[in-house]
Amino acid sequence: MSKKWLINRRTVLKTALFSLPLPLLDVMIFNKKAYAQSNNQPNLILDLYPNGFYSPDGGAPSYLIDELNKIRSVTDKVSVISGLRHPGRDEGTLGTPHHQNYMSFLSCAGYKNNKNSNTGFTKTFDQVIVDENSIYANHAIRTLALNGGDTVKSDVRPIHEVNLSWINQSTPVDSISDPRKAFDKINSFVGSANNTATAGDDNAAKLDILGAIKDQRDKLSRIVSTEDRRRLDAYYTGLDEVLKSFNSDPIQSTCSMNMTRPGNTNYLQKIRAMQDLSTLALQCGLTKVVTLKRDTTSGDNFNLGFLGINKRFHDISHYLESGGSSVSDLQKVNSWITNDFKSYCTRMNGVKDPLGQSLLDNSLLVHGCWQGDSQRHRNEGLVVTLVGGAAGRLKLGKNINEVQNLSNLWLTIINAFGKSVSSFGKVDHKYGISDRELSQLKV
Amino acid sequence: MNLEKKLTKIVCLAFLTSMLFFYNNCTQGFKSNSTIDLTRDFSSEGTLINGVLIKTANCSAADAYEAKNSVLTRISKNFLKYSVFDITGVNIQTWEEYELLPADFKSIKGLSNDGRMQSHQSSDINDYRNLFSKLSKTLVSKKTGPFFSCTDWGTSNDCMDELIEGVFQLAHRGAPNFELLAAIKGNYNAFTSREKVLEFAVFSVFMAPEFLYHLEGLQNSESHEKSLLIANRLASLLWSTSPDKKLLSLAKDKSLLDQSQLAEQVREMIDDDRFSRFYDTFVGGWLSLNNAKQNFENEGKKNVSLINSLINEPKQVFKYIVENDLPINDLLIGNYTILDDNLANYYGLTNSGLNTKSLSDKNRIGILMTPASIAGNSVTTSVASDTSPTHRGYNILKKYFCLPPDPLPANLQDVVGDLKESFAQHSSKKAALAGLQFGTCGGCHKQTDPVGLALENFDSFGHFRTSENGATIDPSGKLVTGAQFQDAIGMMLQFDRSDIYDFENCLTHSLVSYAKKITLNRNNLCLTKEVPVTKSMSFTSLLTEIALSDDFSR
Repeated sequence: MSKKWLINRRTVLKTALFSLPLPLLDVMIFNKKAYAQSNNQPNLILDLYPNGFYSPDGGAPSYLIDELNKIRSVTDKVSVISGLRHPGRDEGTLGTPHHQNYMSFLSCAGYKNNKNSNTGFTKTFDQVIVDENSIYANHAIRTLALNGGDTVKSDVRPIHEVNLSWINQSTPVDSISDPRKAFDKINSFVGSANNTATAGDDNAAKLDILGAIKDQRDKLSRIVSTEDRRRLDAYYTGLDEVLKSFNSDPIQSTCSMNMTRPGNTNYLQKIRAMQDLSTLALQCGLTKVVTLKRDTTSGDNFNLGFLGINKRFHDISHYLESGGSSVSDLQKVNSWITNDFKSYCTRMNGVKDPLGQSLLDNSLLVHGCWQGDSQRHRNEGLVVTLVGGAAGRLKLGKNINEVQNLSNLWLTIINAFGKSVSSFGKVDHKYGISDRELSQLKV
Repeated sequence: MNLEKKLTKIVCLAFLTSMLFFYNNCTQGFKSNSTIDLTRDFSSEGTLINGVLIKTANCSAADAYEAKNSVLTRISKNFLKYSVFDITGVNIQTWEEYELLPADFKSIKGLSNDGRMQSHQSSDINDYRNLFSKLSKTLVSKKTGPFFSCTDWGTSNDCMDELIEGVFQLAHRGAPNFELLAAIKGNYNAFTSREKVLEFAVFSVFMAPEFLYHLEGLQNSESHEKSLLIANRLASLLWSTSPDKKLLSLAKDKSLLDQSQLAEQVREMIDDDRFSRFYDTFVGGWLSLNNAKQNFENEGKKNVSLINSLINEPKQVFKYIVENDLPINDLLIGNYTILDDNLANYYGLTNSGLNTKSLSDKNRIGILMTPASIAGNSVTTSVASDTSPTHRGYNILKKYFCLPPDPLPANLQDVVGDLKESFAQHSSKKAALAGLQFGTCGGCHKQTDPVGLALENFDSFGHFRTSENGATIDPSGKLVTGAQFQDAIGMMLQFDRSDIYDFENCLTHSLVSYAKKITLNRNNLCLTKEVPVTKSMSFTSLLTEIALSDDFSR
């Protein structure tokens, strides 16, 4: 093999008067001062579940509201907001398929014409916050997206089943369905003596070497198709995260992997592990945005054996098809989800962030479902619960029951988190566009 | 208007409304096979037989093959496992880090390396990082194995160069990432130890896109010339791995462009032990044996040993046909199988001995009718009677004859639900499906349902049965070509006699798709038709003809 081309890349960089290899520059993101600045910005946690609830009249069911109000025993900063609606199918009374409802829920843009395409959907509101504010975007993990459902075995819309947030019409925020993988990802940043790729004193050399792979990006991108470029983007985004983990930051020494690596667990253990991992990621300052989707979009994986129910969540959610016999089971599931969310809030309240403040005080948790009445897949009569101090950016405490577009709520949160926009959602979609912010929530 | 006229009008209206309802229920999403206008020219869409449009390839079209887009294909888990083993000598199959790698996409054809259908997530990269992190540590601590062509890498830069350049050539399949190699060589002294250098070199070479993705054919450098493409496709198709040193050497000196040397190389590769992987990778995927295993496990009545025997049966038959140079249409109609004691008990036959041919069960011929193939092409279920003739018929037509009546309806899930209800309301599935053999629905159901109904003698787990819910099963039927049969064996024989149902060409098509890691579309059948295939040729000859064809290196 010819060796003429073997020029030391480091030498080239030094010759060009760079004092540091380039890849180091974009990974120098952790330091206490920067974190203190970013801590003025609340964390955002979405905790969403599929299918919906029992609401034959389309309104907010009292059994659910009663359960949600119990979260006030954890914090008084709770607002249950009901009467919300989003575009969904955008065709009136027909039930909207699950995946269209969830996409419409966070983007407030409905699909048009083809029910299997993404046409019409836009960036979800959480990604508006991430993209428009460098404090969010520059964290090691831009968005920690977790999915409680099993990996989808079907080839029917797999991308819609496992993901929740979308960066744009065709690009989802990649989610992790296995808590072992989530643990490994967080562990790669926090550090472990067993992790060859992270441990050791050789990080500068490692960054230089992996930087050579990164340098190939443009060359490869030029010779592949648009579709393939998206695949390469996913690869290089993943590689960026590997690069980011090669730094020893003061923040990382203040937190540790204080949990054991999850095993191949059952659903209950899985959700609990994902909650703990998300808390850890926030605690370590690795991210400021977490999304937890409690099951796949159609809610088929949710095994309810632990509640003494031998049917799938989705099956009982269509309560009329069982002659009404599933109603009590459905209510039981809804109550369990609410209680589990409350437990999540409790644990978050007991955890301090890197500056010693309560995570719950510095976070906004958004809990709810992209469907209202589960029987009819309703895109109206939705209930969304906000919990947390939100770093003082929102005034929570009172419930709101008012028929209005969900986009009003997302607009309020986007602006509270620092971005000044006048509207959110799709203007030409029924229930899509926001017409105002929720004044009751404004500080 | 008198009463009679009014009644006539009402009846007509009711009829039209019901027809419209029927049409809507049947055809949401269907663009093909709607009302057939017999005066229209169908040559660009397929072949019109007995009023049914069969979507054969249009070989007269000038643009039969048009490579509009490159396809970036991530290597499959099997390919990764075997490549790592062949290059480093480390077996990662049982590692949790390997288990946690992103799953392969299983296409409807059962093949697992279809680049067009893979999903790619940025979080996948962390999974690879964990695997290769462990691999690099394990390898360097072993200090022995095929990787270590020299041993004084702890002190000699020449030896270190040799090891690293060697792994680059193999892992990057003859087209190494020179930038990365230079970066590693430039950093020998920046690491705290020589072990760390080697560890990180191995880690980074496997983390590079040149290993994780099949890039051959995408890059325009000289090294990605035709011979290297052939070497890569041969290694991938026959051994599920990266080209070894010999193949890379043949690619480099362009020997693979010589037809006789290429043919010789194919024969050598089939004789090599690594070809045994082909039965697990290609054959296993082609017959959807993972789905069969799932169904057998769901059934809960077979022990692990019997399940393994059943899953292995079609692979063993395939292997027997390859090793004995038997005609490839024996895969479809051979009246023999390879039994072990488990299978002999299962069928009530006598085991003739290790790896020897035995007459197959009297209700079955070929490998498509083995219990594993039947279970593999059934819906995933735990209920023996949960068969869907339409689903099975579609699978058989698509996977083994390349004649799927696509596209599937957009509301497939709803239709499946309706069909299940319909099965429950009729005396037999044949009766339930009878209503779909006409009009718009008939365009597809006339093609799929007779095929699936012939296989109704087999439940979801491949057990032979003569009745369902007390009703005798009638497997007789007629293909759209007009060919009649009394049962599934008769149907397989009719397939073999037919020019339309071209099993051998479709097998060729699947092999080429697998080698190219993409779903070839219908019109690419025209190119695979250029491969001179006969029913009586051996599989080795078929693979040789494929390798020699222009299409293989296109």
